[in-house]
Amino acid sequence: MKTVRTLLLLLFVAGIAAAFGKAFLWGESVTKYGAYVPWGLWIGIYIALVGAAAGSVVWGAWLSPQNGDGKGTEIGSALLAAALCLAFGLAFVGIDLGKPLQGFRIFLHPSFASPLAWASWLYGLFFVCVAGYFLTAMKRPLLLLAAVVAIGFTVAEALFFGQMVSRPLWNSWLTTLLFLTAAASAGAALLLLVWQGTGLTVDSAAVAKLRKALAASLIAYAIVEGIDVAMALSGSPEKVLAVKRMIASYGFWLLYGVIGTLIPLFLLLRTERTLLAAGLSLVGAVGSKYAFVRYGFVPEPLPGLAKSFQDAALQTRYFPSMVEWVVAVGLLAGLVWVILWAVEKILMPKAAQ
Amino acid sequence: MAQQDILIVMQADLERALKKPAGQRRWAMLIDTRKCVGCHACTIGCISEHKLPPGVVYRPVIDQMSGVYPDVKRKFIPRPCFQCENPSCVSVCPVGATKKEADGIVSINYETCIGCRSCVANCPYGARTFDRGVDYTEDTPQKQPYEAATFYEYDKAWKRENHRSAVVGSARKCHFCTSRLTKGLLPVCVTTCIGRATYFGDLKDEQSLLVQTLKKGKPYRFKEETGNDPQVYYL
Repeated sequence: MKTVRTLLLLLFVAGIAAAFGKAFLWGESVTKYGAYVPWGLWIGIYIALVGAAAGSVVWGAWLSPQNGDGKGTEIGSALLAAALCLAFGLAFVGIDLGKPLQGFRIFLHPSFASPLAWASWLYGLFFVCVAGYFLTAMKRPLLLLAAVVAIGFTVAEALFFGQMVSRPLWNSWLTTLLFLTAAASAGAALLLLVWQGTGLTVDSAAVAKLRKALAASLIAYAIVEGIDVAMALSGSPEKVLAVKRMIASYGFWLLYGVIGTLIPLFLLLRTERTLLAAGLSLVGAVGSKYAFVRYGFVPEPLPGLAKSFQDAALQTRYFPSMVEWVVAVGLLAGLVWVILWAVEKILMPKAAQ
Repeated sequence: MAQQDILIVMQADLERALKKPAGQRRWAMLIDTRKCVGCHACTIGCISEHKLPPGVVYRPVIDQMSGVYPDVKRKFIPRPCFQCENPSCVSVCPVGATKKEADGIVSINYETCIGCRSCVANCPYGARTFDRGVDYTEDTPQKQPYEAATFYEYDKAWKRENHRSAVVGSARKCHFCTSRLTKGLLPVCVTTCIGRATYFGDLKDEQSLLVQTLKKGKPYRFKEETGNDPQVYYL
């Protein structure tokens, strides 16, 4: 375990170094996104992490009645994992900004016409709820408020994408359902991973309940995804092109479909495979959200536009750069490392009291 | 009597429009694709005027071919920003850095833009690009003077000296040469068009060449189904 932690920490340090390099030294010259594919790997991971955070806290609140007052390792771990997941998700979007140091403007000068401003403010409120939960005695009210806020920012984010008239793949009322079901499965997976992968002592009945919740939400997400794909295939030519490219991508069919859904559902039939199933589900969550973001930009806004002016940033092709990969792997490793550290230093001493 | 150059006519239209308050005029463009020869002079003129860096282009010319041999057609479609009446790029901006001005121009405030690229993602015409902070002379011994030269947009002087410049990391797009308009000059893409294919003027001025030409022809607009109501017409 010590070797794994050391490796995670080294990857984390490398990720931070690359992130700082991008933000303060190299700028956008080390990224591969541009004008016609303005978002890529980092935004895909950001959406997946925000969904996992929301799902985790909602499942925590769902499990809370059996503990009565809103206390307990299960709920504390749900909130802690959610807050860390959200913080790392926001780190990804922060690095992705053209002006990372100006990101605070979204809190000081928001334009609430944009659902993204709503989502950002709700992220802030969520952190206040989590801090309040750990620092005050108002456990249950703050837990429930955090759950409501988490649903709020998931919906706001889904509306942000779903209302984009320029992106046929996303511009659908089903996008909200996609985000909610994805959050449910990713959140359950995250929580199971924390409970079973960190040595925390948790209620076995809660674990059993959450295993069933993960299976049910994976099925629900797959059904909504299936309906969305089926509807998209009968849509406009641009939408058909985008969805065909998306389902043919490794991120979608391999990472999400096979590794992130089918195999976990099979593994969940056996109790001892829960940890692996949860881990693979999270891999699938990242794969599906990356495919969702990336292939939303497949159709050219106007036919021939990408060939009208030659430049690497004016293409509909995209594959993440080395720096994008190093930051992505490094920060994800860092998230695991920080969760392990926080569980050991914060939750375990509390549970022992 | 020889017909007057349309640039002279549009210059007079422009001067007339500028005498009105901003809210009473609506800048618009009409591009006659039958007259466009695909010379890209407008693209180059624009790049030169605004010192555009790599990856940023305000007015590319799309080369479209259609049909099956021997019945084939080739058409050139210059694509500026369409200055939409209901711009989908404005509503998604989380910090209100882009807005619809009184005269119809969709502007970007480089000082408040955070570079999230939401507007870039939600422009149906791909009219927004992103200033990545790179130069054409990247990895060469010396940056050329034109790359650090002052340029004028939205009635302000800007420079791209380094990564901390306000423009770097911002979304960028065509603005019908706002800084030229306020000085009484036509947009550079209009004046550089050798085929005189681009008409520019005030849509609220019935006497303008723009409105007269629109009335005479059968103009069309792209992607009207998005509800953006673009203010650039094509013939």
